[in-house]
Amino acid sequence: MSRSFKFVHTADIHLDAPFVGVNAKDARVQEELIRATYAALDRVATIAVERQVDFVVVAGDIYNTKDKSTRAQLRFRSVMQRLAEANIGVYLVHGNHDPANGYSAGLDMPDNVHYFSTTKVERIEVKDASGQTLCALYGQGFGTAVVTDNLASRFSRQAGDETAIGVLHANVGGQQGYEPYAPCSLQDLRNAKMDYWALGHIHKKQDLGDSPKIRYSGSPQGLNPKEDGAHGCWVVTMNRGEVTEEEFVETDAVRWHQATIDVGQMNNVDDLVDALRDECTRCRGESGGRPAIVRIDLVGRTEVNASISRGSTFDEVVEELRREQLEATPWLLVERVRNRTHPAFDIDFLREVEDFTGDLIRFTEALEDPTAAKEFMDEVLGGVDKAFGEFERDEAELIRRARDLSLSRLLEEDR
Amino acid sequence: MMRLKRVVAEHFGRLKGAQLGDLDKGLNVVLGPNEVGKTSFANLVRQLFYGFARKSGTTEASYVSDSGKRQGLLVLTDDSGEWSVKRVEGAHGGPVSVTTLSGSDQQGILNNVTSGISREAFRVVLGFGLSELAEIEKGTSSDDGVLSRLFAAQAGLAVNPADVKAGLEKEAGELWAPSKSKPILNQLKAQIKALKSEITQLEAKASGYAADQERYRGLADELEEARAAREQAQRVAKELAVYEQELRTFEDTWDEMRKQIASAGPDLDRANQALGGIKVDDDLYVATPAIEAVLSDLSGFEQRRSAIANHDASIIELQVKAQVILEDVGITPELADDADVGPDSIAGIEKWRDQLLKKEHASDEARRKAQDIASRLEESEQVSEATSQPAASGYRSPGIIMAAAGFLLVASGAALGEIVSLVLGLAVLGAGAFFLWRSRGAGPSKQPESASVQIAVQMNSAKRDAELRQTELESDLQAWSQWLADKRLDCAGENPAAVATTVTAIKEWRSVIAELRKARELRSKDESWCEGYRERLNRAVEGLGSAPSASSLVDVASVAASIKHMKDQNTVAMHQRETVRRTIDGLTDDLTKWQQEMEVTRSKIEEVLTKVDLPPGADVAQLSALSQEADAEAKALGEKYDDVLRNHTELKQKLGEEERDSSMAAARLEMTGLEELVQQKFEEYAVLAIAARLVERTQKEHEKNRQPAVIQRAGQIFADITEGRYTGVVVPGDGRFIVLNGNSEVIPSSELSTGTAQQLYLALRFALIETLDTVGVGLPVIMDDVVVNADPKRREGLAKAIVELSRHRQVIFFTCHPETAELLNEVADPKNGTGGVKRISLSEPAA
Repeated sequence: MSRSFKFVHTADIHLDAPFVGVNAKDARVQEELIRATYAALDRVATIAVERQVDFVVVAGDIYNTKDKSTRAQLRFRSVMQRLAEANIGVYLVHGNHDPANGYSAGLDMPDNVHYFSTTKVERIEVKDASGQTLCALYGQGFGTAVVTDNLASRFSRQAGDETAIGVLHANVGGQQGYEPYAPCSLQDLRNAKMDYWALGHIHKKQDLGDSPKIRYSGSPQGLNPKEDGAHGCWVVTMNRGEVTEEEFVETDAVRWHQATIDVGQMNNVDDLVDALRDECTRCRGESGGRPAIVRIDLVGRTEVNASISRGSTFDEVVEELRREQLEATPWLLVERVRNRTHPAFDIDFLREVEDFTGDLIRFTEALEDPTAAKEFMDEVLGGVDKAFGEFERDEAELIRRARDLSLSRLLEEDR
Repeated sequence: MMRLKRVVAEHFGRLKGAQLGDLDKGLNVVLGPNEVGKTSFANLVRQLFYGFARKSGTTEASYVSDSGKRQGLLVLTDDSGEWSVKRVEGAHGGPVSVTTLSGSDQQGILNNVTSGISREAFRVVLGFGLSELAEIEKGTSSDDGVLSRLFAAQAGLAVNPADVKAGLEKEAGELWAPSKSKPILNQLKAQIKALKSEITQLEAKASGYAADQERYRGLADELEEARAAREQAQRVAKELAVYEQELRTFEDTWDEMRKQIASAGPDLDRANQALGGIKVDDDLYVATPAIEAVLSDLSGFEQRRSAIANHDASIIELQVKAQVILEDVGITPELADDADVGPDSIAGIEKWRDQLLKKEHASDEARRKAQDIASRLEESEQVSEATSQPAASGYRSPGIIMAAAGFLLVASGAALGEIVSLVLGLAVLGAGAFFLWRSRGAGPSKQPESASVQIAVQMNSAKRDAELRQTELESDLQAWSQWLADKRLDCAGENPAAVATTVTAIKEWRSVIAELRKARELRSKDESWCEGYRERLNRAVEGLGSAPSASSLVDVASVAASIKHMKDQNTVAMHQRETVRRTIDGLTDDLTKWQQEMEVTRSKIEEVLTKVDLPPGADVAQLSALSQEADAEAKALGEKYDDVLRNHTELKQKLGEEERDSSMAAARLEMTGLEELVQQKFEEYAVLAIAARLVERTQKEHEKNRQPAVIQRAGQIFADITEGRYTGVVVPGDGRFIVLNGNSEVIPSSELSTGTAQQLYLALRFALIETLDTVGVGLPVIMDDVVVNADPKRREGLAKAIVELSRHRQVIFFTCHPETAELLNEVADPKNGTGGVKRISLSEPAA
């Protein structure tokens, strides 16, 4: 009869992957960001050692092989060695970012590391030091970066397995914002009759079901603004096919935050500065003592719009806030504050007036027609698009902001 | 309504301290000959409003003054007050100071007056000469077109849309511009390109890592082999070096032994000779421990000799003391020695003393009672003489006592030979015998047989009692004497007090005698010890011919000193002889040892030669040659190892650097930072560019839809000037002006004659100015001889148009032609319903 056992489920570590959407000029911030994915992996290993887990599963994307980061592979090996010294086995699948045919630094991994096959679902019996079987692990990795087959449908529990765990890198349910690799449905996963699915590919933790337990661990470290909030790994305890305990343990070294501040009721820049500071304080509180990166959007129709839409006031406010927050410990990087406020004037009233501003508003509204908008935008932004490639953009939003800016400038003297 | 009242040229070109004005609110005609400064004044007005033109780099005439900094002032007035605006040449057109001459303070008066009318618009539309006339047509379709600006102003916007558009485009241009390097996005693009190149290089470097890793493994194996070979060679070389050193050492040892054996012989001879010269008394040396033992007690001997003398003095003193004690109590030492003076005796004496006293008292009492009764009886019988002799009986006891004491004194005096005691004893004895003789005749008195029988009976009874008491006393005295005799204390007499004194003296005597005995014992003991010491001393040197002996205790000290001296000398000689003997023994041992060592060394040399495969008899030089060969080989292998190690280390370092190297991560982070910045800047650029385009499009639409009224008015004015030859003006929006003649023929402005074209331009200006209404209030229209190319008819038409214009805005018309001035004067004659004209003559050329 098998005993209760414990394991760590992690995935999408993306060692050495660059942070996306952050413009960090401060050396301290840069250093922290460069080591963040490693620090997160170290914490995963520390959790495994301190909690004396029986093994660790990694559901793909340990590093980005396209980045050819030798450092990532070397550092990963050293962490594996640390786990080997603690007699903890590590079972991994290759993901789309670290497929089996990707760049390899040619390093030999310690004996406790086992990669699942990429050609078929491989079954591994995990035993403890005394030779007692703990569970059966099933997994199949990515041989190449692009796998469009439904790998989940190939998984099938063998008769006699007291506990079966599936390890897979896949997009379950075609989630937006992630490549549709190894696509599958929840039903595909249920059909495999596993007791626990350790999934990778989605960077935020997800709980897709309890019978069986289907979990994305998310990445141990958020890598871009969309990956805000806490990141970590699952520590799961199972006994005879049942999950008796599961805990999500935070591992991120730097935390992302996104915030929106409605400045509609504000009358001056001082109010705005106070609100920005309050938001930073809130983010600090939610970061658990970690360094943090914050993106803030200012919204609302406000008198402050005029003050922050022209001249250097807004930039100076943001720069001062950024400096102030970076000097604190732990640092908090106010990565971006976007001015998405509207001027305080009444667009509806202006639209009805037969004058220049009315003409401008009416002309802008004519651009709501997609064809007219495309023609107009191509005319205005064709040059820069040609130089840089077309940027991701919300054209209607850009036109709206341009309209507000024009009106602000034209009505400036009157105001 | 604000208007210009006066212009003062303090320093401006050739104008110095010149003044124009006062000016009227309507038409002002300034007449003056050429070079009087009309054009200078026209330019001065514009430069005072908008700032002095730069001295170079501009098409505008600068009117630099030889007499100092350019400066001048404008006096502006309206119904509420009057203000002087002074401008002095300086940065940014020169600083302005406003002085309120009357009314409320208006420091911003200049901005208010020029608001909505740019410098360029003023120059082209409001303050112009012949040379500017055609410029109104220039750039009609461009954003900088004066018409556009004025149309915008007419649209009621305080801010010129063209300026807004230009500002937006300028800001956008700072973010991005095609084919430029300075705008931010252009810079970012260049940075991204460079960073991409760097990342590509880093990726290429990473690709080489796997190959390096493989090479590293190969080098690790090679290094292991080289290390083994090097260590083997080093081991051999080291062994040979050790053997060489050993062989060298053995040979040195061999030579050394041989030399030492050669030099040890004479040393041995010298030692033997020295040994012969040392004389030692062996008997004395043998006896030395015993002598030293005796000598060590010499101080004890001397102490005891001193003690004996002390004992002698004490003995004499004690003898005298004992003699005096016994003499004091008059007994002999024998009696004293024999007497029992123990505690029982002392207690007995006290007991007897009390008992005798009591009995004597009772006897005395009874006797007195008997005497009393006898006296009464005598009285009664009156005759009674026969009485007992109680006194005689009272002599018995003292007699006994004195006899005993005399006996004791005689005995002790005889025993001790003391004559005094003897004589005294005889005297006391004689006295005792006398008393005893007296007491012999005493007895009971014969009781008188008188009448008084009762008394007689009483007396008899009393006598009997007295006798009884006396008998008892005597009995006790005898018993006491007997007790004393038993205690051998009878020598002390029978008086208990004397006996007690004698007992005390005896006890003291005995104590002194005990001390005396002890002193004699100690003396005897010390004397015996000293004698023993003398015998020991003599025995210690017995048989030593040269040593003296002590015949008495007196000789002991000098004999001991002599013996000590002899003994010490002999001991020193003995030590010298021992040292020499040891030297001889050592040399003898060394010689033996060295000879053995030479044998051992020889066999070791043979052994080493065997180990290094050299024949017996080979020397160090041959072994050294072998060792050098081994060193050379070890060195060569060492160098090879070093080479491999160097490569290995370099590669390891390189691989290690890869591990530590965060440059790729840093580059990617920088890249993402740049991309993020590009995205942000792109959005900023897009908003600005779109905004600029929105303003531009709106302005074009606005001009297109709202311009006809102005153009129509220009057509009317043009028709009036040309007396109907031309009926209208069209501005199709493509940059051209077109006029229609009376036959509705379309004629481009470029086909008009110079004079007609100038009239068209003037008509356009007048129409525009009329529509400006609230824009640029206070700015006058300044015209500098702009009608010279018109024929008289059309000049009159122009004059009417100018006079009409002056109803809307102040006009200052400069001319050097009196007839033009006159024409305007006529046309503006109030009689014609106009506001009249203010004529100003500039007759003197400006200084």
